[in-house]
Amino acid sequence: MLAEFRTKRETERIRVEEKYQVIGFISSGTYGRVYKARAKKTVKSADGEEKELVYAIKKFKPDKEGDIHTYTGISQSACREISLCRELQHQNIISLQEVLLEDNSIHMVFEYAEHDFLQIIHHHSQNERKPIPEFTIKSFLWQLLNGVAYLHANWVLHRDLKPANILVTADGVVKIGDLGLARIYERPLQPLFNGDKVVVTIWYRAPELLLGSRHYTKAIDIWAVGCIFAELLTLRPIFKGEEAKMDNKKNVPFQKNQLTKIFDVLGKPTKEQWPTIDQQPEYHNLSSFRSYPNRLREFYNSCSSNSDAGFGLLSEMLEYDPVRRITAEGALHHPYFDEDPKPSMDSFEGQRFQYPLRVVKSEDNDMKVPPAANSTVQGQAGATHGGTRGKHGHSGKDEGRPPKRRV
Amino acid sequence: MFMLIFMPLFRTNWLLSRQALAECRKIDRQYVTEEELMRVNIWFAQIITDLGRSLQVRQVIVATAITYFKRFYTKNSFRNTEPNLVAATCMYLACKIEESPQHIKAVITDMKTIMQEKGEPFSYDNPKVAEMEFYLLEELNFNMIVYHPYRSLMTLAQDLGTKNEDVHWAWYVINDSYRTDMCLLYPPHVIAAAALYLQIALKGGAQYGDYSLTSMNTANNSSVAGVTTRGAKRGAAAAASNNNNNNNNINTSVNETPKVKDIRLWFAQLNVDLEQIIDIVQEIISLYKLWSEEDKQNEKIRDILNKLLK
Repeated sequence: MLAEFRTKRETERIRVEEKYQVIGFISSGTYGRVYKARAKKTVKSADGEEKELVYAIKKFKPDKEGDIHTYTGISQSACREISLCRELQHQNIISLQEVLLEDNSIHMVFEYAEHDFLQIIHHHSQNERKPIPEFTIKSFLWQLLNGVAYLHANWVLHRDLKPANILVTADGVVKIGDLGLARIYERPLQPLFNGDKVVVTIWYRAPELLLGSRHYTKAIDIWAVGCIFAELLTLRPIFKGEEAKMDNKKNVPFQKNQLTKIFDVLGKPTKEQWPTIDQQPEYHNLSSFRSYPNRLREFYNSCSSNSDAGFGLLSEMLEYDPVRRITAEGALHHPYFDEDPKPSMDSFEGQRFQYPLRVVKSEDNDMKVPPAANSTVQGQAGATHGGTRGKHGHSGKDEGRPPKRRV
Repeated sequence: MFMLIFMPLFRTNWLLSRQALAECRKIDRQYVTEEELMRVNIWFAQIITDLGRSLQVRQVIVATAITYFKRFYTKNSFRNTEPNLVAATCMYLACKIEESPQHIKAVITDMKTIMQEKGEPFSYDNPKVAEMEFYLLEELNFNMIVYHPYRSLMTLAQDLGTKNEDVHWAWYVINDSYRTDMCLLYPPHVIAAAALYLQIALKGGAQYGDYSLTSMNTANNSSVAGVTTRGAKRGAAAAASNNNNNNNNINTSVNETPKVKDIRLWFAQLNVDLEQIIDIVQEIISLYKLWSEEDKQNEKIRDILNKLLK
């Protein structure tokens, strides 16, 4: 009986290569590899011109590749990403075109995004050596918040917002990518912490997580957005700490270094700022810190923007108390966005230069063959389109960005 | 409606009309009757429920697994597939999606035990279940997030000021609804409303500030009277007897919950089609009828499965 069903399925199944032509390899991580591909079928645009559609295909490695007897089906993170991407539809969330199954591998076909925040930040810090235009920053931030507000309104937490995961199309539209860690929290779940450990990349990790809070909340995503805003302004991670590694006994270590980096800028949190701080599991560790002044204003003044509203928004996103931290919806209505230059859905509007295109290794265009060892693309990020995950993920250019820990 | 906030992602429409559902089952209907097919659905829902109990997973996971199973069989006939393998795979995938992953071996081991007890060996190994998972994903069109009536029930119950006991039984009615086709035909909040309706309205609604409601369900009275069930049977049976005695105890518990609202007005304001609610209620009542015969029908289900699968 199953044989009959199998035959039916296999004949209906569309082969990836029937539909897509791989242009080249973008990057890889622990989850698998990402390729740029074009659809073999072109579409006619409104003016009758043949249009080529380009996609990013994320090919998941099967768990324990090759060994059929220990093969246990699709991974939890692929499961999450597919199930969420399948339901979510928003202009500022990367859209999943389709999912194809072949050779025990999942192929997620995403819309293609030419840039990402990390790549653009690098371009300004390394090549241009001047700040990102305020109009672009504001449009980026507004669209990012717009996407986050949509996720939050739909009870989805992203849980790993960082510049590498925020993609931008050639038309200047921000697309939040990599929902591999995202979770729905609306349904009765186990504590969100369970089975996951801490997941947010340490530089973007909110203070309540660093102090041992076991629940992910919307406020944790907003902290990360605040860090990203600061990074867009100064082209450097605002809290560039070092992650304390887990010891052999798998005890979760206290992240003293990362907290120091935060206190350096924001001062040591007080009970007035954060009334429930003494209920945080790691609160006792705070006594070992000296007091620091709040230097956020100083920090902000040193960057290119001189908007007081911009400073106001940044400080509301980097509010210590998660309860008082601004929401995505609140941030979208912040006076900063009413000031000129006003944000736009085309972040590159009126811009006379073009950011460098995503590097694609065209010699590695066979999805069945792993790319040559040294062909990992330098400085290209965007976990949906590559990513900083795993040992192959990144380059020297990104100043040793920490990989996210995942279980 | 306020409860719609619980299904904002409900983008892909898996809901079918009765005609469309009948069309899906054309092949199976060549071999068995409509009623026999209902028994088959009850049978496999029970297997999935048993598997869930054995794995000690939450009720929502069982509900998700049964929904996968039912959706799968809107696209395939029983005859061309192996429903026990599909059932185990649905549970395996549902555990992953509901963030309580189970080891594939645990699912298989427990399934073996359950099927052994039912006198039917389950002889699939890891690669088979993993392969089936791939097919299942495709058949589900990769829509793996399923919305259930439970959360809507809590919201509705809170708004109405329902007594805990009634919410409790309405919850069981929802569990039982997965043995019917309701999750293929109606959105979760309508099923939740119907479960509340079944529980409260059949009791007479007197406690909820309405004395005329009984007239709304006279149509059901005949079937209600004969109902004996399991699961929610105590609730439904109590409802039935309450209903009969309605005129006598009308005032006994009016003051029990002070915040309750006028139930008829409340249902009218729900903006939910009352005909749909009645349809669901009737469907669940016929489930209880069929299900109560289940004890005698172990032999019968074998015959049906033989006709259907061989």
